[in-house]
Formats: sequence, C-alpha cells, structure tokens
Amino acid sequence: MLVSVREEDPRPVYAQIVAQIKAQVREGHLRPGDELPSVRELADALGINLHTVHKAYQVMRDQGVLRLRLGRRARVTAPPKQPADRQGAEALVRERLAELLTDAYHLGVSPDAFRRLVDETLKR
Amino acid sequence: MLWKLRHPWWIHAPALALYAAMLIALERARPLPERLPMQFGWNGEPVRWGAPWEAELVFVVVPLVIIALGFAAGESWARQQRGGRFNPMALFDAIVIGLIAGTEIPWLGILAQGEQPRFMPPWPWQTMLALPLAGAAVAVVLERLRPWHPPTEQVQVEEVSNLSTEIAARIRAGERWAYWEAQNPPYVSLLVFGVSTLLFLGAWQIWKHVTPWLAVEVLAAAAFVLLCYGGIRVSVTKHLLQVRLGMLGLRLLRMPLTDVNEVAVHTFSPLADFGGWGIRVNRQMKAFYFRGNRGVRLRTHQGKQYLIGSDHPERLCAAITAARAVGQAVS
Repeated sequence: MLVSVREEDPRPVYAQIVAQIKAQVREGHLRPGDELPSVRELADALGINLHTVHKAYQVMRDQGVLRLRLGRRARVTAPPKQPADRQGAEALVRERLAELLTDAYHLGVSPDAFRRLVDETLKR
Repeated sequence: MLWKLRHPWWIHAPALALYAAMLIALERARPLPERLPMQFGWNGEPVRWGAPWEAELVFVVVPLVIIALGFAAGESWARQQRGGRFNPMALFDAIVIGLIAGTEIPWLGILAQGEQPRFMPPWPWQTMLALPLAGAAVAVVLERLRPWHPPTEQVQVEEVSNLSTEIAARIRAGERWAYWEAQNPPYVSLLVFGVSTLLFLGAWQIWKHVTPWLAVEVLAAAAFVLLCYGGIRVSVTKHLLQVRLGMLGLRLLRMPLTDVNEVAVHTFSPLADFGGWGIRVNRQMKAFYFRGNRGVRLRTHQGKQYLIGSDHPERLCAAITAARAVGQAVS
C-alpha cells in the first residue's frame, strides 16, 4: 500500500488518504481481506496526526471500504456485487460526474477529450 | 486427481515398515493385560499403570502422527526445492519410529510371553540403536533415489514500473509518503493464541504445585508470545526501511536507506534455506517471513544481508529502489 500526503493539495489530508486507498482497492493493489497499517503506524510513517488517520479510516468504514474491529487492524472489505440502493448510487455518481464535467469545461477540456480521459481511466 | 504428490510415497517406506513391525508385535502380544505399567521410577518400579487403550495410543496412533508429519515435511520440501537437493528431513520419520519401535517391540515381546513386568525390563539398547540406524540408512538411500522435477508453475511477476515512477515523482514533489505491507497469515494467530494459552495454563499449575517465581517467568513468556500477535509489517518511507513484529510493533529491522547497497527480488526455499518460517538466520543472511517463497534481499555497505518476505516483492523492491535512487540524486 502506497500513501502520500501533499501539502499543496486543497483537499484535507484525511480525504487524500481516503482517495488513495480507495483507488488502490479499485486497481486491485489492495484486495479484500488485506490488512492496513494501524492508525499509529500510518500516522508515524507520514508524520501526521493520529486523529487524521483515524478520521480517514472511519470515513472508509462508513463507506463500506474497510472493516474496523476493536483490537484488530483495519481490513479491506469485498465490494458489493450489486449496490444496495442502485438508484441512489447512480444518482451520486451522476452528480460527481457533472461536477467533474463542469471543472473540465472551465479548464477548457472538450467533451471528446473528457470522454477519452474517462475511457483511459477505466482501462487502468 | 485434484492434489498431485510432488514426492514419492516410497520415501517413507522405512517408517512404514517399522510401523508394520510394531503392529505385528502388538498383535502377537494380544490380549493385552487389564493393567499395564506405563511409567517406571528411578528405582525401576512402575509408578503409573494404564489401560490397554493407552498402549494402543502409543503403538498405533503416535507413529501415524509421526508419519503424517514426515509426509507433510517431505511434500513441503519437494514443492519448494529448485534443484535436486538432499532433504535431511526425509530421515525424520524413519529415525523417530525406529526409536519407538526399538523400545516398544522388546517390551511387547515380554507381554507376548504372558509376563507382567513388576520392574523395568532391561533397557533394549541394541534394538533402540539398530532400528533407527537401519531405518535412517535405508531412508538416505531412498532420498538419494528420489526423482526431482522442476516446478511447472510460472512465477507471477508484477509489473511495477508505474509504481517506481510514481514514488520518484512523489519524492521529487516533496510529498510525505509511505509504502506499507504485512504478512499475517492465520496460522500465526493460531500459534500465538495456542502457545500462550498453554503457557498460561502451565503457569497456573506451576503456581499451584511448584513455585510462584517460576510461574511468573512462564507468565512473562506467555505475555511475550501473545505480543507477537499481528505478524510482520514492513514500511518504507523517504529515508527509512523498518520491519516490525506483533501488536506492539517490536522492531526487527530499522535501516536507513542510505545503508542499503543492493536490493533485489529473491526467490528462496523456506525449508531448505532457512529450515522453516518466521524470524530465521542462515550463514548468509537474516530473514523475516511468515509465508511464501519470495521476498526482497538487501545487502548493506558493510556486507550484511537481510531477506524480507513479501506477497508483492516487486512492489517492495521498487519502493526501496525508487526511494534510494531519488535520495542519492538529491544528496
């Protein structure tokens, strides 16, 4: 598992950690059942506050990415084969895509280029 | 057949032959007496008597367990070996069952004559030496005849060029980063809880029947074993490589990356190279692994070598290599 923290990133540190771990789960570098470092270990390694890592783990637990149990290390859970609330999940993805498309528009990225970028990202 | 054996069954023929001889001796001794002397004191008199089923346990079940252990060791060796190397563990079951047979066959012979020993019978030195030695000699010959077939399965090598580039970019951008991985298979947890439970129970008995001081020492040992729960974790950061053990993170290795002279993915044989799993030392290196047969070998500028077992050795190697390369370039 590779995690880094960038000070120039406008996102909070916990959100950076969440995004990276979730990306590694999607890319298959972290598999269901894999252990994650303890809160203290990761905080020490990255030189950040314990509470920041704790918050990142709690967010991922709430999103169903991690399983946290008292006295045990966090483990990656298997992603659901079907979303529990399909309509809700699709609405959330549609909302995020719309935000991203808006950002792309203001950055001058054309719809074709945006589509190509989505396809390339999906293939990774 | 779903599970194909990698080592021939006839490697265990000496142990099986000795086992058969014990079973024949047992049949000749039947019916066994209602009470059998099971243990003798220093004065030669029986101090504990047992039922016939206890004798059956020693003569029938225990050798089967020994043969099963020898079988598992032989199969593990054959699955790991990458050359026609002699397996010294092939002698294990022949020697142990030879010792049991060498002791028990004369004992069963006494019972077969209808005698009920009131004193310890003369110690059967001759059979105790002859049977294990004969079994070991045949086992050596058979082990030398054992065919070796190169492994057919391909090693899955991970593509990690992206990771190296990514780490190098993150270091150059001044990001704080950490690469982390763990080896914590279920058998480690089972061993930790099993051994510590036995030690706790032993300490309780020692406290009651022997002396509290010894019990405290056994309790300390149990606590130490319990602290090993959690397996091995490896972390690589900008300047440091660390290997930690257990729930408290007992530090097994702490090495600044500037001390690393060479780093490479290494395939090894846990049994043949290190005699098992865990924290191991051989003539060349110190090793830390709980599963698998691949890892990363490090050599320091002082010539010391370490092997860190890994489920993703290419990724671990890439992380160390990238961090070292950028660190050297920066300095």
